[in-house]
Amino acid sequence: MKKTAFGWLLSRASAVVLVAGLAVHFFANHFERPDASEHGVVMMRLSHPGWMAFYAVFLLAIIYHAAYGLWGIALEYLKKERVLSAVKSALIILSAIMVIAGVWILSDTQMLLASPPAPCYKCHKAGSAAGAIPSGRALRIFQ
Amino acid sequence: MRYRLTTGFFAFILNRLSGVILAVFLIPHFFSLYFIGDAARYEAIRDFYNTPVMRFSELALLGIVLAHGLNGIRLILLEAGAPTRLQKVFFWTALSAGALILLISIPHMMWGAR
Repeated sequence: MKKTAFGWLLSRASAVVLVAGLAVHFFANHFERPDASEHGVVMMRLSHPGWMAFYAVFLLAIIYHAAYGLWGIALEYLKKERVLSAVKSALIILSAIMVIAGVWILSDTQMLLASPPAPCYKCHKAGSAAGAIPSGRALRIFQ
Repeated sequence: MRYRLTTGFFAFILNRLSGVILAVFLIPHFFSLYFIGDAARYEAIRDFYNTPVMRFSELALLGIVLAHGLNGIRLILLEAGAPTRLQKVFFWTALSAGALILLISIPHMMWGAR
């Protein structure tokens, strides 16, 4: 299979993953329950390996799909070889940063769960124990 | 090249614009999730997303996602060999389905408990 054809096929495959994934993502974070996007609930959800796997696939699919789409637009409007190669490098670097950021975010949810005891996530709203909840990054350093 | 405003061209422009918006949106989306390790900060950001303007923005985001996603399904069907004469039917089906889902979501996205 030619390189371009494979890239195209992958963009379509990621599109299918994203349509299904976005429905799940939106439903889980907005509709499933009133506190669906609350910190504790999100953490609880991500403690499940199935959700971790879901978001790992989702992350790769969306970054690939976005980069492929933007690259297609660049190919259409930009003609100069040098400009195109600069845009290509920029897209690759940006994609890499986004994937790293995504993995960082996902790993941070796991680090927090490793720390007992389960805190009251709404406490800061009531004005008590604002700093009582440990940060994932802080834990990574001190544990 | 002269552009003519046909259904196909409108669908193409809609897909391209929504695609660019969604790609750009990923950056602030990831950035706000960057603080997920800090519950208090995360909740502060969530409070901000709970303001009417942000809630409306999220509804708009859902609309853009629906436009891009459902239009994308239409595109994949056509590329996979679905008859081209159906492309307008597909487009209007995708658009109405998206509009319907968006309409149903309005009360929850704008005023639902969070």
